[in-house]
Amino acid sequence: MNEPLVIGFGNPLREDDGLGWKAAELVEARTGGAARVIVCHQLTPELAADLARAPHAIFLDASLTEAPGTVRELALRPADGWSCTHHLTPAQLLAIALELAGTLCPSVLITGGAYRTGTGERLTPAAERCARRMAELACRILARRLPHGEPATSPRR
Amino acid sequence: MPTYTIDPVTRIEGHARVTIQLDENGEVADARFHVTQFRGFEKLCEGRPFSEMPSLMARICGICPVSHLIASSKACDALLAVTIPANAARLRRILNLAQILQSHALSVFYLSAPDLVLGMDAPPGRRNVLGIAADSPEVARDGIRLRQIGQQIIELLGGKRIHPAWVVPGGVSAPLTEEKRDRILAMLPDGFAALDRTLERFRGLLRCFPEEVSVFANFPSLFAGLTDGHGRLEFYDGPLRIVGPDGDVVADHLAPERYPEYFREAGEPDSFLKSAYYGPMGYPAGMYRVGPLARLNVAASCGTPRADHELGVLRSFAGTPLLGSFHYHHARLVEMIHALERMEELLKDPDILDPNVRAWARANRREGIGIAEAPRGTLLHHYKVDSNGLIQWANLIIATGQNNLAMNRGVLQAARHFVRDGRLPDGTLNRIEAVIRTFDPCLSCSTHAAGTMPLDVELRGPAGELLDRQRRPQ
Repeated sequence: MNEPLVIGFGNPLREDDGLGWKAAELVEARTGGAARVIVCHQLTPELAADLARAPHAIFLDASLTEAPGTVRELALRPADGWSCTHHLTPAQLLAIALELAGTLCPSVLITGGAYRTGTGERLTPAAERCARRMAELACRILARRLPHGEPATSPRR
Repeated sequence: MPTYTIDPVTRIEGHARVTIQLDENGEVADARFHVTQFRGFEKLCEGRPFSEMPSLMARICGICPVSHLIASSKACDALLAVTIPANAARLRRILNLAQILQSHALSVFYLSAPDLVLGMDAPPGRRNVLGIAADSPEVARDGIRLRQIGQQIIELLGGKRIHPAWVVPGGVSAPLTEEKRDRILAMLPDGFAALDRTLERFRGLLRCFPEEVSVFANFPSLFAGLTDGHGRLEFYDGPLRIVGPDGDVVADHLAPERYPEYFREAGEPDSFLKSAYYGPMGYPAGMYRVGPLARLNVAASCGTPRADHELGVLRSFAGTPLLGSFHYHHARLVEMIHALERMEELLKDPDILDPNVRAWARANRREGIGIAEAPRGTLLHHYKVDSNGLIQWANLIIATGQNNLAMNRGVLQAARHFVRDGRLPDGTLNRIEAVIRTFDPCLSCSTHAAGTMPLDVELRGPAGELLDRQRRPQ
């Protein structure tokens, strides 16, 4: 059986935009290889091949629309269509993986509200705490090994 | 005079706009490809230590950072005045070939396959990777696998897929381990198999686009690229060769250090993208093309059996030299096979594990020039430093700028053929964009510009009035 997949994405050179990276690194440290963890600047079609093989997946990203510090979990469904260039959303990536594999990889997106996205390689202290909460939530989901994902969608502070 | 604007041009690396000007009779009088972004890496690096340049220059682009790493490190090697260890050059070659593989896979499978597989007139919402995955999942799988192989090799060698810092002035920072070599070698058969399937399919597709083959930037021009000194395809080093539209060698064994004598650049008021031209022939008569098509025109052969076989197929279909830019797509596939073959050859060299991979020195020269073939064509970095090794001046000659004159002429050629009755239906819009896509321009690289560039096409009348405008969102 392949491991579950955790993908943290964003730009770690833009302060809290690195929330997804940081949370993914924390998950990797806590799960000790039980999940396959990938960090990247943006989602590209190659990741669909990894997604197509995974029993389930968790995406970790910073959010500019959520209130700063808010951790939100969202069940993902494949996107219907789009005009893409080089980067994709998790739902678009899921749609490609579905076409390639013929089966849907149950997936959730965990976002953390960013406080500041200026130039800098460090998260703000509040975002550091937010990243830890994102990682805790991801670890709980991994532990539950959700079947065809019906995760809670209530926001957490 | 009516003018059409296509804004943004989609499925290219960066943001651009096309303007099509009509005359009083509704015929296309002129068409221009504008690049409206600017980044200015040549200026922002001034004052930085030269040793930072490879990493700094790699940030120009997220698609082809390896090309900038290599050209920049070669310019820094020249500042150090060292000959790097032979194994460092081998390892840099492998990294560059992996870059060629992954970048060409992106261009062929993600950006152009929607047109080639689904058709130029397919609904715009389907002309993307998902459309390919739904229509022809085996094509999507092969494209994804080929790009993955290139990226995984870059990651194994350089430590990460994007912006690896392994290539340094004087060589590379660490030798190759046996374990990594074996892992890379194990990936190559998958790559060959994916390319065999792709070529089988592609050869059939070629015959479906006779009109596009004939008017997609299909005209005489010069072609420039590196050779290995014996007339074979080369990506890392060697002299430059320039051939004419009849295949005759116009200039050969050109040392990169002498580039100001033969490569010049002109600016246009409507674009941040400079236009390079062959100096001895003047502007714009010195229009030349670089990249896969040009490399296969300047080289007599690839020097590897599978790629040479496919080059023979391409030449028997399209002639020699290859004048139509539609053949850039096929040329990319030929280069991808060559990249796999050359990587295999280099990795099986018993000296590939030699730990001597770096020459150490301080700056011993005030000026250094580095050249390499990037996926999109010849890339040149030129630096001047002060006595402390701080950058005083930098000049980058980028492939896309070298293709700018030909891209403009190609857009005009296609617009004259496809624009009818002063209208710009979607299929026509897409064909004009597809001309640009054959060159696979990277506008972030060529303008050193920030952000992404949407395409905007305007159709204007004789008095400049806007007749039609097509804009694509980012």
